[in-house]
Amino acid sequence: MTDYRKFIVEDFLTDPLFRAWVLNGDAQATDFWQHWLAGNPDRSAMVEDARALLLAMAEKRQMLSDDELDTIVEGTLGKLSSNTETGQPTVRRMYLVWARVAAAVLVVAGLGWLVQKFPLGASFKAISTTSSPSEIRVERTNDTDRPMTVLLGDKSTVILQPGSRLSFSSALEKEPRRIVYLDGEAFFDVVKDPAHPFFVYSNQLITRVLGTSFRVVAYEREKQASVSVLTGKVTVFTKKDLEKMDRIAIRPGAGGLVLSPNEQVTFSQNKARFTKSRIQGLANLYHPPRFSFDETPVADVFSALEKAYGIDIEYEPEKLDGYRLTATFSEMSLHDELHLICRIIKGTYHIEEGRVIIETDR
Amino acid sequence: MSNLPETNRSRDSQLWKDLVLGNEQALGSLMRIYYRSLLNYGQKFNRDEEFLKDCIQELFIEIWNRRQTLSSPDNVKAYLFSSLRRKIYREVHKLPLFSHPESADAEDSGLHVEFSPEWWLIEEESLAERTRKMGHLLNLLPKRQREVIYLKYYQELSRDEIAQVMSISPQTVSNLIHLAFVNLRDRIKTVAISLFIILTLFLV
Repeated sequence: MTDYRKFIVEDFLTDPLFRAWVLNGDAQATDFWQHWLAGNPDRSAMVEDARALLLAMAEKRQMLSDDELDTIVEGTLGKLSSNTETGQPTVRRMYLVWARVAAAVLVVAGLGWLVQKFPLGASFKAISTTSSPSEIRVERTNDTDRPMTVLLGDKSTVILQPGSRLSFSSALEKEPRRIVYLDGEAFFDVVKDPAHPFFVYSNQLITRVLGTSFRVVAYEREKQASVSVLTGKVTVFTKKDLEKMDRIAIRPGAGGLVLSPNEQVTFSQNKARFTKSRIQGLANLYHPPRFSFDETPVADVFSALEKAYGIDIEYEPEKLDGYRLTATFSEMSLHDELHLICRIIKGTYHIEEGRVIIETDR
Repeated sequence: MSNLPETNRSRDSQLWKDLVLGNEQALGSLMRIYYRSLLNYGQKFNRDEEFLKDCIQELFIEIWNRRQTLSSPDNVKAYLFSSLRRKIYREVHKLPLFSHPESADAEDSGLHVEFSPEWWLIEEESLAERTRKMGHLLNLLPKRQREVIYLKYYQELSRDEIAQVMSISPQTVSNLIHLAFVNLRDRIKTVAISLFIILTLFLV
């Protein structure tokens, strides 16, 4: 018999009976651990830590069903028999690669054209309207005197400063490149997704990121623009760089300046060059608001969030009757807060043109 | 118990021999055994499930097409994991726009393991909160420590298998695991003191 009292967190993680309980919800294992915990209450904190660690690594709780897996396996085997030795996949692969290269060239070519047509200091409007006509664009202008939070469909967050304007595609999350256009100052907290890089187009500068938080200050009317990084890494290009890249096609190593956390780059149009410096205190500037609720009706909670973040939340008030919340939110993102509340009201939320839509099925 | 690592290894080698001989069902069996683990592993690097499913399918098709020339791996599981890892890396970095070595991608020159537990699906409130926190703590670890912890404790790979998957020495694997737990333990302690969220629900 294993002496679980001698176990530390790591030992629990590799124990088959423990895993059967946590990962598979095995009935016998569940029974065993409930009894064991009742008899060893002093070990419960450690057991809970180990449990949470395993669950945090598991993430997808609803995995593929056996039927889905069968379909996938059959589908793959089906492709084998129709193949000769060298195989169709290789051919398809090549085709895919070409399609991607072509798409990339198109984008860069398109930008090059823009730069020529609208040289440095080009009108924000002109750039933002050049996307394909079928695409619906969302534009947010902060004409209040307080920062405003804009939620993007990919769950990235933008804090837009007064007098600033942001525009983006309404189906941003579905596009191969997540592109937003900014006139003014904004702080971005971008959800990491290496397959879909995120770009901020602004006066003179283009900022490319994979997933990170950073600030861009680039007013159309001003001759100076800057980008400052809080976490992660970003690459900054001038529109001129892009123009050059267009001419020499996509040559690796061309243009772009890489910024690390707490670094800032300033670009001045007159000197036409970058100045890199160190900054501090960006985190304090963009501290998430803190909330404390005590048996507060959920509708009032939403009002508080709307006010603090400057966003719109749409819901059906009658469905929230009777739900009250007692909670303290601190150091939490708006998305985490929405998740928690939705959990309580047994609903879901999604972002539509920058508005939060709450759905409940009560 | 057929779940012992040694039994699994000899079962896998047998399946591999069969598929080299042209037995499609052997390839299917390997897929059935490892598909879910591979998908979960891939999700640590990339959230696009369709992209990952394509990668895994292509991985198995390539094995089939090259079965005559591939040398049999001593450890099929580790071979599949490391192949998928390389494949995702290659695919992701094929995105050619603006990519150059000293750009933001340079720091990704392995891959980033990111945990995003679906903690809100966990019914027990305190466990959900603890899981959210653990996910956060895991993500604070340096990326190689994250991946080692995941491969060892979630995927149950041995030290040598992890070394093969990540192309590092077994000694480095041990060091990384040790460091990760030193880091985690420190942070768990501070979290326990400052658990900042207390949530109760009143249905009136």
